[in-house]
Amino acid sequence: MRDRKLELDKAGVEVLVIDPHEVYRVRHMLASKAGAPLVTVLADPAGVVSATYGVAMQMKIHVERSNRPATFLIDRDGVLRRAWRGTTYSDRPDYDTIRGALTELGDAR
Amino acid sequence: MVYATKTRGRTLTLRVSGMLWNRSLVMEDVETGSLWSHILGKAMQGELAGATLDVLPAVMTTWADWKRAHPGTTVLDMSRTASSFDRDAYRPASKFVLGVVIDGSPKAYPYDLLSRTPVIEDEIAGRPVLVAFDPESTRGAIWSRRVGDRVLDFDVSAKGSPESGVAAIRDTATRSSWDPLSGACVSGELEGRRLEALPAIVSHRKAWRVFHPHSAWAGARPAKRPADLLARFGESYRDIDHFMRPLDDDGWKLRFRTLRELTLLGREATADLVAALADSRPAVGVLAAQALSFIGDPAARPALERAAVESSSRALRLYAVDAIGAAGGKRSSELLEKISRDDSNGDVRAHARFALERDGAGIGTLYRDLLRDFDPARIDTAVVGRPAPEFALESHDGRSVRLSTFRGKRAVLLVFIYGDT
Repeated sequence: MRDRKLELDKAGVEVLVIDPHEVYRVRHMLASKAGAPLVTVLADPAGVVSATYGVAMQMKIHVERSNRPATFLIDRDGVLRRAWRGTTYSDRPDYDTIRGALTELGDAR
Repeated sequence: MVYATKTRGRTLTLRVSGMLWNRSLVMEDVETGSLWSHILGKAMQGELAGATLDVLPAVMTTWADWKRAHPGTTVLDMSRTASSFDRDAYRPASKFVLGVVIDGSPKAYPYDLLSRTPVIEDEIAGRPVLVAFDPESTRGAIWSRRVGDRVLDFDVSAKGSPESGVAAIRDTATRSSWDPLSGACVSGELEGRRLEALPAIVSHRKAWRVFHPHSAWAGARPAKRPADLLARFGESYRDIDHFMRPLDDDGWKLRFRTLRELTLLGREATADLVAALADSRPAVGVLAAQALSFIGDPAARPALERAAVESSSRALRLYAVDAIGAAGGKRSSELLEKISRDDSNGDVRAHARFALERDGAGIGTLYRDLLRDFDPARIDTAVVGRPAPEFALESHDGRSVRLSTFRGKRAVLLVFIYGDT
């Protein structure tokens, strides 16, 4: 995980994680994991960004209504280039898929 | 805005402090070094904390408009380092309001409303007022409708002869003709009389909200009734048996919109939401409990406590527990402790612990603040090939993070997670 983060840093990729809970719940979640978070975790408790990106309130995680797992790739001009919206809890693009999509973006400029 | 500099028996010399508060300029008085909010005209810190300055009526307009109204005007000679007033600075109209505070009651008149309805009769804190606006120069004014011992009503739809940018209007009592922008009676029985100017200011819409959170807003649509919102939701919403909605299913939008509208109603919605906790359709009760967890009204506590213990729906118990925590206070601590030990569902037990972690601190207006400025037209607008929708959110370490600040990096990966439970 740490190696991949280093690789993404080296490639100039910023990772932003969006959690649909209040900031204190986000900290609670992070505190339960070992060490400091490798990436920035953003709190979206009212779901305004999650709704904008079309992932809000689409999943029952046990009994809570939560975000559909989803990953979006945005290029250096701020244009959305890829959207992966999951259909199961663990449905995410694997690292090679992301690396491939980054390669497709190219290194122009 | 223009303030009288005499307060508490002394005349102050005010200057720019170089500091900002709520992104708004802070003034400092030379005499005591107290710090003043320029938008409130109130000393916030220092020897004079709590003191206020009297606001004087002033207008913000174009030079052409001012000269037309006051041909004999003189000009304060200042260095020309500042850029000139540009009326386009006050466009788009949707970003600005004309605001006034009367006897402690603030009211805002959005520029876009005034552009459509340039003359408005109104009453603020029991005082009859007339609001006038010239869309061309963006000059606005608020007048008292009290002249001598009578209160004037105006026929605001009548078309008189134009004296300034806006057509003259007649008062209904004497049929005298008035220029609504200068407040002067231009012909008729009351010719020569003037309306008393009230100290209105031009403000950014957002700044007015920040500094006057309880302000009334002209033209605000009448609030929807919470019972109607819940009924519409109950009729149209289809819950899903599966753990995830299919990709092409947009039922979540109805849920999100309804939750937003209920949250914006705040405590006005509490009674209907409490009634809906017992709705025979489980999805309605769960939504009502979730809305209460966003609103955090202590008045809902007894009903929520019942739902948290007695409901056979674990989702309803979970959101009821959230709402008990959001209401703040520690009166339910014992019950939450019990739920965190005894509930048959692990998530409900976890949420009872989350509620206890609040340690009595309620949710306040967090959700209302986050949802108020959200335009529902933005829902589901992330489209591949188009600019990624902009946002700003608070990070785990307390920073405000804006997506556009990463423009120029090779790429940004946005990863939406469902959280910890």
